[in-house]
Amino acid sequence: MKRKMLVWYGELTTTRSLIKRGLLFLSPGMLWLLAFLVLPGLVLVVVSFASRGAYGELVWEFNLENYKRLAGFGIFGWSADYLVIVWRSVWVALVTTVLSVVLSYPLCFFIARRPERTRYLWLTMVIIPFWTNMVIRTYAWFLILAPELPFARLAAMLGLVSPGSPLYPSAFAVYLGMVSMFLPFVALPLYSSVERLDWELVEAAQDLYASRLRVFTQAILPQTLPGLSVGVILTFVPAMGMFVVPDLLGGAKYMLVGNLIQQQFGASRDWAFGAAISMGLMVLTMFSLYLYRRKSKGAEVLV
Amino acid sequence: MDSESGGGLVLQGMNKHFGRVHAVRDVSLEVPAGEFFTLLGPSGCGKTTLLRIIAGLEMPDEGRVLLGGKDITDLPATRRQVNTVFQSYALFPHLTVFENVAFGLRSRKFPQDEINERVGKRLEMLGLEEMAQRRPDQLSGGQKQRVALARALVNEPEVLLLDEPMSALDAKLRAQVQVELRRLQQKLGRTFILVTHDQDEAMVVSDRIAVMRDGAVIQSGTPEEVYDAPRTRFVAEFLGAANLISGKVVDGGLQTELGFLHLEETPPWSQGTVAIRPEWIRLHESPPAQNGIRGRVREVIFRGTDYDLWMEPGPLRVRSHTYKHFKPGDEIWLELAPDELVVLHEA
Repeated sequence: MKRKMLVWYGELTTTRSLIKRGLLFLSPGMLWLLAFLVLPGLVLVVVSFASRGAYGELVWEFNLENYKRLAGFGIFGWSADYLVIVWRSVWVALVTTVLSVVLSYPLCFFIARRPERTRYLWLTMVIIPFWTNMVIRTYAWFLILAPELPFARLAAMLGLVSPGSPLYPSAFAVYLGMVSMFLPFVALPLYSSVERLDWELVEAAQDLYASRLRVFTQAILPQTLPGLSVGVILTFVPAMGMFVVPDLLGGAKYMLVGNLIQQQFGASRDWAFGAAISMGLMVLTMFSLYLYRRKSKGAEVLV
Repeated sequence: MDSESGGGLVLQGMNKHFGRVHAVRDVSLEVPAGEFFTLLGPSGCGKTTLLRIIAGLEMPDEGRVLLGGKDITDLPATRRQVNTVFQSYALFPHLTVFENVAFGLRSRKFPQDEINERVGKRLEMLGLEEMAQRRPDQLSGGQKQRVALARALVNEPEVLLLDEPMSALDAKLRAQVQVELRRLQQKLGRTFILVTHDQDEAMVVSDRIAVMRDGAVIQSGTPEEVYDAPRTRFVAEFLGAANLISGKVVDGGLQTELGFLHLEETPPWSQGTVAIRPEWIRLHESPPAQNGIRGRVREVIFRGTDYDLWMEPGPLRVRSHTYKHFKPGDEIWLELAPDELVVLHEA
């Protein structure tokens, strides 16, 4: 067979050796994903159709009970408990994302406008929290929100909490923890877009009589959309499954789907139900991403 | 029409600093309504800053901007009846050509049917009807430039500002667009203010030119005035090639390295420079009555319609028609006639 030579970015090679090389480089990553993502995922699917035995063991008997339970059909008739938890998770993830975006814009513009020497110092300050473990960072909020400290005292003075009690557990503390956790995930990708912003478009919009809102939606938003959408996905998806922050700062009353899953695999020893909830969360996340993609495609042609 | 009526622009005592750079120095200008006025100068001379001050994109440290007799210095860009064609065109990449052009009208909440009518009219005028639904990245440089022009003109600004609008076009297209721009301005009768570093462009399009250097206007006038009677060495050199000859004043003439030159007027200095354009130097087979110099061709550059000859002594640059052929080494008489020698005011 005649070998077909080709030039690949300046290198003289053949199609066969390119394929061989590609496989060589790709296979470690592929194997990793196969072993630690695809296979466990499939196991999860299988387990979600099994059921819990009397001592928390898995009983391999195909049934849809777990999914029915998730939809609210329990032994005592229909209840919305689980659906409320799922809905609350979506809501918390949504609010966290929106708050992070709203806070990130001014932050990114502030950093982008610093002189080059100090700009990276500011960026480092955004990243520094990552150097600390997430759980420890969340515990730090306990201190900040403790009853003796100014925040809790102020809240007590305003009559928001009873004197001598901390500001946690509460929805407020959850959002505080969540936003501080995810802010860098929005701010960093958004910053890369803001840094490259073509200010002449902003000036052109001003020159063409645009209001402040119009300057933002027509000259700034479309240019920062690439960074923004990365940030939104990086925040919304993990926020949906987050359990450390709501567990510590939200208490039992503020259960999210992440806590629910953790509980099934932990205290309740109901792996099958846990797997079913995980599947539900995964489907929900995929669906949200699908909606988001459709919506953001629309936003690019925003008029 | 004058600078008091709608579209007339007056700049008074403009000054602008950026840090320690004095970007605009004591500039005062009057541009009557309906004039095509050009700010010409090398990069960094402050011409763009001046334009941005007029647009409201920059605040002067000192000075006033008057539009149609009204002081607009403190009005924001969004409230000035002035529109700009930006150097990079600054078209909104996510909007179609139609929506780009409609932008200013939508900002001011014009009704849809009026937007359709006005945008349609401008697109037609600039030959862009076919492009209406395209996005900027699907357009050529020339088309983008016309969209930017349409986007500014659709607002019927009292003054249209153009910031080096041709710099992204290739030479051939540029020459064509310059003529079109001139015609467009005459047809609309609006005030156009152009910023450019291209002296040919300035001369083709303008009613009047202001030559700027280091933030100051050094000479202004019609293209003919500025070209024919440059006041300084800088203006003479910046507006096309010029031969500069230095010497001492002796008996109402000039004693130079090339010999004694008669002048029409006595210079205001005792030692200084005169200029003569290459195409003003006349060529003779025999010695002329006065100001004749025996020259020897050192280099011949063929330009199609004429030759550029670099002569000894000098180097003097002479432009000659191609009906006579030259080759290096040829000898010929050059006449630097007194009425063609421009006395530069700078000593």
